[in-house]
Amino acid sequence: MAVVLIVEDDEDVRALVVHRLKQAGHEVLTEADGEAGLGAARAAIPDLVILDWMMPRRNGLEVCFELRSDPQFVNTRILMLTAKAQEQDIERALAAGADDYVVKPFSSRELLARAAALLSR
Amino acid sequence: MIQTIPGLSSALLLAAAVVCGLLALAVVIRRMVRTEFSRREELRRSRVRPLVLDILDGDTSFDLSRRDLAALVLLASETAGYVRGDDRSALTSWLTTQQFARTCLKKMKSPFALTRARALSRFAPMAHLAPRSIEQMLNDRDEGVRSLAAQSVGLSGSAALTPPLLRSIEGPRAIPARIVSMAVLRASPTSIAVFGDTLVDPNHRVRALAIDLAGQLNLVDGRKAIEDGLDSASSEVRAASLRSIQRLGSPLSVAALERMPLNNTPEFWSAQALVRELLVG
Amino acid sequence: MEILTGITYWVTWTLIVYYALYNGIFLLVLLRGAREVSREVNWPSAMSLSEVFANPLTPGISIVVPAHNEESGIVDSVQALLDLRYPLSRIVVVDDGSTDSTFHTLQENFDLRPSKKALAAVPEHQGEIIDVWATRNGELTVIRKHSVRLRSDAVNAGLRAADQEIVCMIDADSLLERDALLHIAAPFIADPTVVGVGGVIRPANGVTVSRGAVTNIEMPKRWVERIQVVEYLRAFLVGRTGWASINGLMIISGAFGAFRREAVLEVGGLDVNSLAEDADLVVSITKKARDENRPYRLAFVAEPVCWTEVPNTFSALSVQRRRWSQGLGELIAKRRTMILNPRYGVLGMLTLPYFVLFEFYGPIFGVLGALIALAGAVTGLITWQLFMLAFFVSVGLSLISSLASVLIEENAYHRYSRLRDVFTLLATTLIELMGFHLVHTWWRLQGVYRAIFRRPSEWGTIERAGFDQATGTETVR
Repeated sequence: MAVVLIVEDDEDVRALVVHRLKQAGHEVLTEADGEAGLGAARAAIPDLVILDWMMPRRNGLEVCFELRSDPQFVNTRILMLTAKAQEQDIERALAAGADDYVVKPFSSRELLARAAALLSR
Repeated sequence: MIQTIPGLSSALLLAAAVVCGLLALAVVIRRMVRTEFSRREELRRSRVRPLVLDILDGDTSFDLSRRDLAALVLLASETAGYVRGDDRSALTSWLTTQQFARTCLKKMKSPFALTRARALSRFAPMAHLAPRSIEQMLNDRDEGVRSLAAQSVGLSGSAALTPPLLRSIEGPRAIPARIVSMAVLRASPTSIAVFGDTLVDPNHRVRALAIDLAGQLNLVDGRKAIEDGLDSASSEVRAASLRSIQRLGSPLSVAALERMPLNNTPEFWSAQALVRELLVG
Repeated sequence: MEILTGITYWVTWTLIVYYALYNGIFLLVLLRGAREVSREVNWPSAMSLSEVFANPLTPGISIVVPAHNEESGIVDSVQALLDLRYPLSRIVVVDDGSTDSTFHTLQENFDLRPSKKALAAVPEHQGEIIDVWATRNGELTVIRKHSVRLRSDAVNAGLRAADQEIVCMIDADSLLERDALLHIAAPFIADPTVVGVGGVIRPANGVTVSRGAVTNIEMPKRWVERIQVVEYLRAFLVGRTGWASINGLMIISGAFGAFRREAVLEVGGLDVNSLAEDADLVVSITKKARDENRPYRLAFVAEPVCWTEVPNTFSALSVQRRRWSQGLGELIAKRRTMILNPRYGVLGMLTLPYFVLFEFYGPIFGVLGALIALAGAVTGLITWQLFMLAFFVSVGLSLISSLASVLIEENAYHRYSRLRDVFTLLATTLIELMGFHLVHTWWRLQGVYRAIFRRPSEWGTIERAGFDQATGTETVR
């Protein structure tokens, strides 16, 4: 039972991810843009943040940087969920401090498995 | 002096005023109709969205009005586009029970290009279920539809359609090579077997593209076929072979490279450089 | 007296035939444009756009941004460009002799370091390059150069650092929507003969911007701005789309246009002597392709994806329109061998003659004809009926064009969110024809005069308020 924050601007994707996480028994918060996502993160200090990359008002990479440079989030895991699939994109995300990376189109089972793995660390 | 027909100018001005009035009215009406329509559709969509989740969980027992069901079918087909694995199978199975495939395939035979295009676009995530139909659409008379067909091969991962896809770069109803390449890479076949006999295709452009993509996909089991390209009469094919051999980076290719005829061409020298590169690793 | 009546009569009839042709042709172009817009809007493009986004073979785009004294908005602009949805883009900002802190804000915000990147030798430009800076990952390059007060010179310098297959040239204050690059790259991917793609530009005045992204679209407050909104709808949304559909496109705006880098370098970059450098580039590329018998296409993306600030005072607008008119005149003179020359296809046989007859010489007919016809009707030399006929073909048909353009926009894109804005748009179409049209024609006439008698032009600057950091919105003066 963990606190998970989902920052994703596509409503349909968000709905699916929220559903799966709730099924797995986690407490889920959602935001639809980067700026709001940061605010919610600071308020709740979640255990896991599932982050989209391409979003309005602060993209996911920036949010990732912000979270990693803030000592409050040292125990927060970050998983990027995005359609950006090139090797250099993955490198950049991991360099920015993401703990894992899932490419869209994605399997919700796989996403859940990776989320569970990150949360158990 | 030419007399103006009495009353003509007044009539024209009046007509112009009426047309303007109608246009202005059309604008306002269109706006109001659209606002109302979108509002309703948005509400409908929100209502059926949770049901997509039910479908993904395997629970498909719900009773909906015709319009709501149509909205759900649309939403399910869109969702199938950004998920994969079990999620996509669950959605496509349900869509099949809704005659979704049948409806799309029927529309894909419409005389109107736009209708064909939209049906194809909706069907795309499930395109692997109807490879023959998609193959036919690679040869559609509208170039936009052909390109969409190529893209749906990629999106649905229908690697089996790679040979007809590659061959579609030639002919009167060709698809731009770049779009074909993008589709093949997207479908990401994992074995050279999928390429069939395009690797020895008599058409040089097709053969060169097949060899090129095999290299880009890093298909190790295609090494022999790629090396055979070095014997081709076409410089385009030989160049593609060299590029792909470099990408695969296997020292086993050195033998084939050294069999190349000795002459003072840039091609020969780049082959030599490649030999050194492969040996050094 | 008889002679005077005769002259007035024939002048009025000439005016009638002229405007009937002008507006008639435009309505045809408009119909064609409407068809294209309709097809483009209804075509299922979501899959294509996401395929373009996700694919490693998608061509890279070098975005060239000339900047002069842009300290207030340059950082937001560049950040917005970096955030655009595209797999491979490189930004080249050319600091054209700025006297403010344009460069320093860029350096601070993006951690620029001196770049060892080798610049291409072409195209040539007059203002010398001082130095070159770049971010560590190479996404942003900033070139500092001496200014010769010409935007095209700055763009040419920037082209030397452009290393991707496609170059996109924009203004420093252009706002691109998130998917803009995906849209503009699509025609290049779909058709290897496409050498240039233009996009629809909308006035950004009245648009709310947050961190370089468009968040809310409303009609601007001033009539001078509103009139331009209607003008741009007519000219861009419909006009250019229509011309492109018959492969007769003559202008791809410098505020937002993309070309294959090779094609631009082949013609030596932008012509620094031209006031209408954007039209000049397109015409040069077309000429070269035709001269060498190569297939080529110029495409136009009708989805509105670029917003740019337009003059918000009548005096600034007048400077711009005089300059455009003069530029057009000079371009026509430079390329007069192409006019009515079948070798140059639709551009030579249709577009150029149309622009010469109706856009360039138009103002002369417009001002003289209108004055004579009005005088004639008032003094009784011609009947009021004849005058009304002239009024119908000029004002009436023009109003129909404007309203049709608004309808097309409403049907296809409906970007203006409030119902109130729709009414404002409609009202503006009417207001534009009451007085503005005549004043505008007068400005264009001045441009024509300058083109013919080779007067030097003025370079106006738009007083620009930047992006308000605190509230995250744009303040427009």
